[in-house]
Amino acid sequence: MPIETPHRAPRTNRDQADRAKQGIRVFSGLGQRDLLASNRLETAGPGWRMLIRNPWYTGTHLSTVTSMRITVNGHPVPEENTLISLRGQTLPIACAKAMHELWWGMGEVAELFLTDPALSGVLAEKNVVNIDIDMRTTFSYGFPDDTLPYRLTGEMEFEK
Amino acid sequence: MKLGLSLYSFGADVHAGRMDVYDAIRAAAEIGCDGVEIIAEQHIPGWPNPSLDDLTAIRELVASLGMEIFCFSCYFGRNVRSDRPQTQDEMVHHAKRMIAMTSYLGAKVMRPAFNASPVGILVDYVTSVLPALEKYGVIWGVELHAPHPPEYYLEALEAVDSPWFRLVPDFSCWQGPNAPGQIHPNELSTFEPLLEYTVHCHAKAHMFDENGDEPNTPYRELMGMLADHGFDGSVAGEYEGWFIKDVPSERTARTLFALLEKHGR
Repeated sequence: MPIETPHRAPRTNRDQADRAKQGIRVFSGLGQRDLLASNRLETAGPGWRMLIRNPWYTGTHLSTVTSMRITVNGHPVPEENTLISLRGQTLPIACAKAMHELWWGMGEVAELFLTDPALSGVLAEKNVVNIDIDMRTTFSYGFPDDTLPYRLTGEMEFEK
Repeated sequence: MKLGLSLYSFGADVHAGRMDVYDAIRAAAEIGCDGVEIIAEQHIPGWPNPSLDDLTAIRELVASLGMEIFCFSCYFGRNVRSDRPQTQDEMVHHAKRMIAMTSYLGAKVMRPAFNASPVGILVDYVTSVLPALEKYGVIWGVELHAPHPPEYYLEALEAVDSPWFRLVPDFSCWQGPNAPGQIHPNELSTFEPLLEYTVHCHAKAHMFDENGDEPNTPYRELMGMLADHGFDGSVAGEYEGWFIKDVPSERTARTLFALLEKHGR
């Protein structure tokens, strides 16, 4: 059986800009596919916890995460209420871009902690979570500003 | 020539957390590879500061399965930090670390991914670490990949003029216009002047037809040119279709290696 036939392949590129657009689409598709390591949001300490995989196709320095914005059922979680944890090291997401020493491995699962009290009135049994990550590439892949704009989403369950 | 697989080919399962580097090495051996290519940022536990114990375990596993590590791939990015680009001293320090690590793993070729634009900066960079390359017996294999034209690195190869700086052509340069990422398909004849510099190849594949052929890549011709040249380096199959579709990677890796054997044995 064909694994992927030519007529189903992405459209031919016309130039570098078109190639960059296609690249963003393909990289985003990979990130979306493996994004959720669990489809459950869980209560954790003073907030809530969810598990996501590194969307990039290799491991990367955490400093390449220049921003991450989480929205739950349309409610934007403030940056100061968003924390990321890798191998037990937890830090505010705003600090990620300064952490070039901290590695986020290929497919490695990170814990996200959301400490926004307003979420208690937002969360339902089934939730739509949007995860927008601007990830800088360490060298040029031709993306504008050398940044891959991941706009990812997931449906997550929460047991009240 | 020696035939094998880049562990990149197992990316679908590695990215999804279903497979680790040891699983991928064992799968490559089971498929019949002479060797593998390992990508530092994808496969080495504890990156960027791996333990010697992990590196030893990888090296010994590959050897115990009768294979070799053809090539150790790594990334030489300048934009690691948010506040400033890497300094030249930091870039040189990183390159020397990777050269030593390549040597420790027992690989002959190191493939750094590096933006060489303009190419002259690559000449300066490689020249600054030539003594380390020679000391450790490691060849810096600069990867030629679409959309760069085939002649892109010839000037640099001639300028450095060293057996420790050679070429790793990726078959993407000669893929047809329907291949993902392709902008300018190149004539097969453009491979000819590169052969004398070639030490390792990436046999790129995105898809296979019902016969197990890669419809956008002239494998028969490219492998034939390598054979006619008397190429005694290595060719690593590099399946990249996992970006597009989640297919069990052992299946696509097996199909790709069969394609290499069909035209390269």
